[in-house]
Amino acid sequence: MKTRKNFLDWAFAQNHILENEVDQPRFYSIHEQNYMYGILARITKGSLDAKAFVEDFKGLENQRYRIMDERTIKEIDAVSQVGIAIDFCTQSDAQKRESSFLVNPDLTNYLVQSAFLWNDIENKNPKTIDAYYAIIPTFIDVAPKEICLTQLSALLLDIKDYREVFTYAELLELVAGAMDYEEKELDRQLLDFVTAQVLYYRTLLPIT
Amino acid sequence: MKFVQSFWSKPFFDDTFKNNWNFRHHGGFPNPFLFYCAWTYSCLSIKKYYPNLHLVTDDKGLEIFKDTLKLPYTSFSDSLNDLEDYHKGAWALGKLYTYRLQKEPFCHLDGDVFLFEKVLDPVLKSPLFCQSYDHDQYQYSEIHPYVHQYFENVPTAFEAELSDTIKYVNVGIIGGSAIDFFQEYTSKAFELIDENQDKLDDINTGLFNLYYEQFLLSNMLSVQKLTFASLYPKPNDGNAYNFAAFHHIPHKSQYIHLISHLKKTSEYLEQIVARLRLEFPDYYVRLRDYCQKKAL
Repeated sequence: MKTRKNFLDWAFAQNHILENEVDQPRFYSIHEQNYMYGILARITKGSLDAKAFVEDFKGLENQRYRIMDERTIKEIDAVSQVGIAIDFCTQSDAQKRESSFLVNPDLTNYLVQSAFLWNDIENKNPKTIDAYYAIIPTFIDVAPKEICLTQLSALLLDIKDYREVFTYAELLELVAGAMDYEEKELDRQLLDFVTAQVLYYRTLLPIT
Repeated sequence: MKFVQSFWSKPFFDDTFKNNWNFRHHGGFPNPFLFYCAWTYSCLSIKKYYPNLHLVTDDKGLEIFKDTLKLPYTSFSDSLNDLEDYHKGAWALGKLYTYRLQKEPFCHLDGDVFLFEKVLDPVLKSPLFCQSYDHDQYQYSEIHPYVHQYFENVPTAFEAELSDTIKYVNVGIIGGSAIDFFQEYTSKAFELIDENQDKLDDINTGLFNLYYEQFLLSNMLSVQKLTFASLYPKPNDGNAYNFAAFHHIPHKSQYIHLISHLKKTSEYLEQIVARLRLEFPDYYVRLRDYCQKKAL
């Protein structure tokens, strides 16, 4: 939950709350929901400047918990998907480049939005921008996985509704064109990105 | 060569600093089930490539890993019962005591290390080896002066000018044939602890553990001008290496170490549980049933 850590770092840096006022392990625990919201309320109460930012972050957390509460993942199915993903990863780069994929249709259920970008702060206020994240539930009792949909990850927004099978080559051509890169320059980065998406997030499903 | 892992149960059950990745409540994992999954997968992944794997633990560890989970260690030792009276925050003591017990060339691996090939072969013949190193002196910048100011009878082996020329080691794996050196190193660590147990309630024991385990070793190697082999040959400055590159297994990654906050990262925890279930289903079922029965 990088956004949660970034939020707290921002709150400390902007003096909206003191470090010794927050039990950080509790704040970062997905199971301490009430404690986390309590800290948000305290920050809002203590600082009018923080209000808009806290409300936005609270909205993000509301969406995180909604996705977590509504998840219907069966462990056996998830583990089977991981198995397919592991097999994909054992292929050579050349074999991966010959692969085809489908966008996971569940991806659209996992997209959330905020008015500030909670992944680009560095001791100042978060950028005001329509920020998108993928909050992806897991089959184990831990926090959902989180992807900030900027830079290369933003391509997930572009393809989220695509329901046809596509090849790696087609994806590379699409992304290179959109980012104005030569395919050769982008290939290594895209291949690593696709592999990570297949294995950790299952946003992209390899066709076997 | 003898391969060994160690589990001291006292820190595991200490919930003083829950969810803090510098401490070892539930082994630093979010809950016991995930810790046991990780430990089991660690043991089984190591055993696949280095079968001569032993566990040094205590009575509670034997009950869990030997009697209940039935992990296939070559031998089990209850020697860590000797640490019963030590402070629960000093979680690295179990590892140091285990190093001290070794009388032949050995390789100790942490319980959050996973192997996907005989990846350790390049370093095993060295007199001294570790996982990796960096030049980050700042990780010790608070604890080092604190110990020298407030602790008593600090061994000279801890004296140092923090510098970015020192190689600060990470001991995800550690070992070698320099048994005399390991005896000296571990005795200095215990000297510090034995003289200052009463101070440990006032200190960030998370960082302190890294200090007497890794800083002490780094400093002794530097002062004695000893070379050591590193599994990762170049310095890990600026986190140059990704120790959790599951997506690069098996071609570009054959070693995983879930260092500090990585033990709480959902992406990697999922990988551990899924891989354990896929590759070793009997062990997974036994572990799952135990945890469900105990409501862990």
